Amino acid sequence: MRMFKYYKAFIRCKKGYLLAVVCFFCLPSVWAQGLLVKGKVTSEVGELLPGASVREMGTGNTVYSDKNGFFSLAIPDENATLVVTSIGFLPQEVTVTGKNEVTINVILKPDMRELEEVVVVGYGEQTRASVTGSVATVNSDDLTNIPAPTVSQALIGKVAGITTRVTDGRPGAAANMQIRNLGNPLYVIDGVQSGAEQFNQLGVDDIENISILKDASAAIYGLRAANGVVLVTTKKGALNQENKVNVNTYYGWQSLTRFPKGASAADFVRANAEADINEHGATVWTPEEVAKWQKGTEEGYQGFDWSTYQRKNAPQSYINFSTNGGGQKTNYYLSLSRLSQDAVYEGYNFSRMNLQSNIETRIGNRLKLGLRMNGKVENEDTPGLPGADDYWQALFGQLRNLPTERPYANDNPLYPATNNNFATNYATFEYSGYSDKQRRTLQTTFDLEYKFPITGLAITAMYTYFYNNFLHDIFEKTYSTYTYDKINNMYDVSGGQQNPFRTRKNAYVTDNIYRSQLNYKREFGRHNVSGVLGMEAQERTFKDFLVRSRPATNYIDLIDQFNELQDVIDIIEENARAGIIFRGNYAYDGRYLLEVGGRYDGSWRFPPGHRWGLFPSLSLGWRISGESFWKNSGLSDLITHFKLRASYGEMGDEGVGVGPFAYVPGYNWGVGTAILDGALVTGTVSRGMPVTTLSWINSAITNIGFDFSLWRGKLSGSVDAFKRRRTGLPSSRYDVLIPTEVALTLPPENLNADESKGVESELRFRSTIGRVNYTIGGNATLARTRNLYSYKPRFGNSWQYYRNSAEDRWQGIAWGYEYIGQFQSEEEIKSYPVDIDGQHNTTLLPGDLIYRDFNNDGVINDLDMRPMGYSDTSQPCLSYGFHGRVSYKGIDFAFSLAGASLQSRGRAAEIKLPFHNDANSPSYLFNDRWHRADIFDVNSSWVSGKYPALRKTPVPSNNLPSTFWYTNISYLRLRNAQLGYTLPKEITEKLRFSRIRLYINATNLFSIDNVRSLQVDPETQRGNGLDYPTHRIINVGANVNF
Amino acid sequence: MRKLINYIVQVVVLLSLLACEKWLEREPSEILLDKEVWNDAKLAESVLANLYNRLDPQGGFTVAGFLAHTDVDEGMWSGGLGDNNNKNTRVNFPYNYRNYWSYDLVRDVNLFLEKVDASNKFTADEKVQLLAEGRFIRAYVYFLHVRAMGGIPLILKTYIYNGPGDVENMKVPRSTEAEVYEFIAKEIDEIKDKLENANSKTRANKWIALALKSRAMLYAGSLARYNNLMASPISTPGGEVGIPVDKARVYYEESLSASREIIESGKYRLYNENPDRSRNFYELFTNKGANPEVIWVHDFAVPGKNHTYTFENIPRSMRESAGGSSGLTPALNLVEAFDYLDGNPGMLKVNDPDGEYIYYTNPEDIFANKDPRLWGTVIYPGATFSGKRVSMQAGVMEWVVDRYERRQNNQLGSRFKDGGLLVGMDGPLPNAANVTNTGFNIRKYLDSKAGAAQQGIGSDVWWIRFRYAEIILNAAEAAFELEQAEEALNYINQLRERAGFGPNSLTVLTTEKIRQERRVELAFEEHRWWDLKRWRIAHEIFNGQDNSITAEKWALWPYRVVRPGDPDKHNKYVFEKRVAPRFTRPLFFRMGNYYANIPQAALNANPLLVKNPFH
Repeated sequence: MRMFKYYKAFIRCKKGYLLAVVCFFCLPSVWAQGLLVKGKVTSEVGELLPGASVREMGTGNTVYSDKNGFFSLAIPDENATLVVTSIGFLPQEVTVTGKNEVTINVILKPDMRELEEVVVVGYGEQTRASVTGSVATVNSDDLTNIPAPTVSQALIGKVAGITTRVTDGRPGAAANMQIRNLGNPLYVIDGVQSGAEQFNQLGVDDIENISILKDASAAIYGLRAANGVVLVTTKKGALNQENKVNVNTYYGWQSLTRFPKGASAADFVRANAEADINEHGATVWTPEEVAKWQKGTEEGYQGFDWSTYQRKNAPQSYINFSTNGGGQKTNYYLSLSRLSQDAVYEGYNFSRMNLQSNIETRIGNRLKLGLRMNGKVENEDTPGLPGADDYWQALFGQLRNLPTERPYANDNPLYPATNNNFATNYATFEYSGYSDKQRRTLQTTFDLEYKFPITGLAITAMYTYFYNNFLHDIFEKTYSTYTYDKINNMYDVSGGQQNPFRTRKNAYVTDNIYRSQLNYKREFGRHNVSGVLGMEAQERTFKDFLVRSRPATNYIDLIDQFNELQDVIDIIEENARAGIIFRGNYAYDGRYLLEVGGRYDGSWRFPPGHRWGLFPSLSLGWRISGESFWKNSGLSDLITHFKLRASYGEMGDEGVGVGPFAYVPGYNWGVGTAILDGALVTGTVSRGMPVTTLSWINSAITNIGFDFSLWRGKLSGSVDAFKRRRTGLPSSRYDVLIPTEVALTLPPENLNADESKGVESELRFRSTIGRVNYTIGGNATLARTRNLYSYKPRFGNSWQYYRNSAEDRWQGIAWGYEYIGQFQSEEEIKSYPVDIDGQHNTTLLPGDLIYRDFNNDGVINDLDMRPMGYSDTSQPCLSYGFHGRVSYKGIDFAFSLAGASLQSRGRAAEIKLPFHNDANSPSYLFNDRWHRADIFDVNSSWVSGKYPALRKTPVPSNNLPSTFWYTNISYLRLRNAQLGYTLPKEITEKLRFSRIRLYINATNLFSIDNVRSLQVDPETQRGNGLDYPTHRIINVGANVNF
Repeated sequence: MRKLINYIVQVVVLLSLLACEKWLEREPSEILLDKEVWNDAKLAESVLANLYNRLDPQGGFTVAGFLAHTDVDEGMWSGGLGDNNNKNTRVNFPYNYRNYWSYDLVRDVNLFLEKVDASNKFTADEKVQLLAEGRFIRAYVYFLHVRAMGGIPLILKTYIYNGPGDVENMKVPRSTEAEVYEFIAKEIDEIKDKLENANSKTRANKWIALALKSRAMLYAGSLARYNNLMASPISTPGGEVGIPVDKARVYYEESLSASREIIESGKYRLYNENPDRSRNFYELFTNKGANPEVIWVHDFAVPGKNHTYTFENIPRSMRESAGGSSGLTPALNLVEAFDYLDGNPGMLKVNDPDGEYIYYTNPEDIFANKDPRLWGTVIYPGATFSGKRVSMQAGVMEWVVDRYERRQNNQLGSRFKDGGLLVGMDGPLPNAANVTNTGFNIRKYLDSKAGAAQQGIGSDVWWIRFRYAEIILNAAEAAFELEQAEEALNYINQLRERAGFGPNSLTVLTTEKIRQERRVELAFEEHRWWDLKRWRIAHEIFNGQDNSITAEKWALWPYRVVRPGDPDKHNKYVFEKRVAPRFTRPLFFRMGNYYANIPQAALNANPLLVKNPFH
């Protein structure tokens, strides 16, 4: 408390109240011995620096220089050390002694640390200043800023060039992440080529930094680099560093951002009667009965709101414990963390434990040995519901369970009710068994580095063993559901699950990865030379074994009875890759930068003779701000750093759409089964024409860009433009028409081409206002792919060319009909000149959709389709993010916004067709619809609404893909907002901690978008709207270091 | 020194590349090489198994398979209200309806024949048998083609593509419709005595081959005759479709002689194991033991190879899984095609001559004295399945003052205010999924074993491709067309006697009677569509007219009478005939449906192919 008052005093000090206030609050003796320091702060070239902070070391006693760089600071002692800082300059310590008053001049040196920052690139490291490719980096602070369960979720909106879409937000889910919308990138974790799943499930706290290779800088990964590369480096300890212990923990409450809510029982019943009458002119529902449901008071006529099963406070928790440090020879980082995340439905949980251990030790002066292990155990537990995805029944149940039904017979919680679809009745979930998924991963890497006596030359060798096991146990148990017999007060078994199902899938992956590498790096005067030459080989074995049984009892979990076995699936796959890696860098005076690199790469996927390819890259950089003309021009005061970059690289893409052994002729085993004379005989089928001429897709990427920094780093950023041209996309030569009667399909060859291009930019501004430090930044990425040419396209007529050609045309165009209105009356339908439904409009009712007859032929058919939007399944073409941080003393606040445009959502099934699956629909379909004033009177007048009149059998013409059902989405969501408070040092030290920070955080608090009325999240993609959307989360947490 | 280093570098690079190439050599796990397959009789059989498995293009027991019966006047789709419901609402049959262009199967059979022929790993006997079996499969596949498409190119070998120059030789024109039927007959004549497997019901043998000939030649004969009786016969100038009328007689004779050979062999007889005629007819399809009637089947086994026909079609109240039920439901049209045992036509009596309801004590009483095959084919109101009675009631007729008020609601098993049943547990409901819409459920092929209606277990009932009763019907039709009426009458009476009519129940035979017998005996066995086509009456039956008694699907809905004042009528049952409410568009068969269209891709690739008429 006393401390706080002391702080307060010095705020006022600046305003001239110093004397009075200090006298009032503090001991008089402090003032009596004090010293007033006056001075000014300038740069090396004499520029006056306003806003510089002058702080008495070890206290919070701080003032800021005024607009002329002058400051005055009162200190209680006669000597002190002052720390002077200003953005863009290195902090400087000044010792002052004296009595009463002293004047000093502080000259600050420019801060070049940002340029000296180490950037991890493929098979090596460079400084930020010498990087010539388009490489974005994210460091540990930025990642742990948001408590995200998966790494890709932590990256949303943070990096230019990264596009994300959270199509599924269930616990443990990752965001779909791409680099520049090029496709799925390659992930490399601590030098080991890996997959998206490994990347996403890393412990976020264990990541030191992430580098994203967006252009030719990825070419060194050869055949797998065409879509860019994401490099992850985990944390290490430093030599001669005291042991540090860090704890990060949070607890949060989650709810769904949005999910379609089913209509009420009253609406549902009315809609049923209405649909019957619209369709057949009659219904079995009587007006009296419908009225009783509307009232909802009489027994048997009360509805049930199934959305109450969706929780608003599903818990998640996380704790990470890590320690790092080092002695003379050995340094280490050890970490353990656990995440637990519940879904909004009871009984659904995801948890993960991560372990990381990085140890390095040195033998003599030249040899360094390292062992890096990262392991995890992941559990995904859900009820064992029918169907492949156990989330489906829970999501589907929100609409599939009818609002006229109740979960329990007679509302007695001992008896789950027999309803429309018992599998979606939440009351049955607790009886339904389980689905337990477990993934266990261990990646162990042995490193060795030997420094030769030749200066700058070293050899490294690495061996990695990777093991991933996926164990999936499903037990769908039998149970009964009940109907209440009121007369006899009995609960009759009237349904339930009679179809027990038990499987165990045990799949594992083992990788062996070998690498050796020669590194050279040396400076000769102004010449800077470095190079890498290496060789890498990797192999993977994948084995998957599944047994399925039909257990005789619910109480035995073992699959050990032969007569219960139903199915056995056994899969074995092997693959192998090898490559030679090379790269050379030359820099002159830090101004002219040249990099030549590439890879000679081979893959098992292709037939002998077509396996190896060379993937070269070249990139150049020119740091203009280092030129003397620049320095002399005075421009350098404004633009302190400016670097031009250009790169070109060729890469490969193995993803050619045929299996690895497509070049092998022969027969496929296990296709079809026949029972011949009572015996089960497994079928075998001819493989058809082998694919012997297909090779990888060639991908050439060109990038130009520049990095800049203004006012010594206050404003910094980069701009890049890129173009990736892919040639050799697989296609068959369809000018050779083989008669279908000989049943030979021409194999695909490398014929077609496409091009992705775009721009991206990143800006960051850092400054201070008084004592408030803040940073704001933003980034945006625009990237889209265009088909360039295909093999000899043929079109019968100009319409076909217009409709079907892919020549030099953007990909991801959705075609549909243009909605121009709704029929207002039956007379209008009768007299309407255009045949909308292909049946002379005989199937239509008022409110049905009218489409533009573009070709004026009097009938709506596929000739009237026109482009109406973007793809609804791919990444958005335009992504953007904004973020900011403000700190004031111990308080810090950070936020980030993420958004996207140029993507679309089509609608289907549940959120388009009323009564789809004979189930409930979102209330907007039932209420905001065309209907008769008296639904029971077919002669009453029509009342307008947004949606067509209700029918149970879908009306084909209403459901055509059209602009009515299509939304071109834009959204901006508050991805994250976080308020933290770091306890003052005095308190922390008393408690023997070095730092304690408490925070509260909100994730996905709101989003501004144009699909709110559909009750779907803008990032989900299923047409029916039944994706598990991302969570809205409130977290509280703490970072503790000691 | 420099040279030496250079040399070492070169050697190291070369060696490592060689090592790498070997490193990339990996073995596939699911691929058999040619030499492995044709080295081993077991694997040759495995190839055959794949071929046998692909011989039911309409699908047999798959959803597509039984949906096929809802396209004709046998049944109606009462399953989900989604996509399949277009069977009830479509304007007409599209021209690609039931087209068949399965040349990948033809190629695989030809490849099988060539590989067996070229291999020296089989004994001479094995080879003869395997080749004959392959040729039978090919003949059957061509029959599947010709019945749908008319004449098609007869491809009898495999082709190899080495470059665009090879394409010209691959273009084969369509054979005439007559040539294809003659090819089938000739192949069967050549192979029938080479086929072993005499007692097999799953692998081709002599009798299966003769059964194919019996059916194919009957089709050919009727096409030749009835096409030319049309006002304007359907044909192409090259004879790709349309068989000259003068061939009819020969084809009927060929068919009759094939049928007679089977009949006279004594290998098969009509199933007659259960004195209860109704149950006997049902068991004929589900008894996989010693079943003397079955000639060729697509067999199933649980576990190993099951099907979901029972799951999809079982009456609503008897289902054993969450979904499914009542997909295929018989139409009243078919139910009324079954005669009364006294020989009277099978119209059900719902009203007396004054237009008053006829009151039945039990719902099943209205079906009394019908052909017992009706019970064996259809689950009708009040009938039992697997010992359980179906609860089929559309609602209640309540007597209010001076007239009946129809009372009904949407809830299966709901009660009326008098405590009695309002709507049956099995429907019918007017607009609900997986509840019968016609008032009937299917019984034929429905499996009564416990678990057969569960998705996880399924049924092992076999799909019968040929059975003896069809041979008898083929023989009767052919004989009748050849003016051998007495022989024909004898066959029909045999069949009717087994069904439960007394001996010699018919004394006079007509074309109509033969066709009706075929319709009721072979219902839901994938005959109706092809029969109506070859008799050239499909366009008359499925005329697209509203309220047509043949083109609409009709329903029979039972109601319970609530009339406490009149004990003779109270709690009795009355019936209403109506067009099934979910069925909104009468079937409309156009002239262009007599032959399905040839896929555009095939026309594009082979200019020698001529289109079928009207397309």
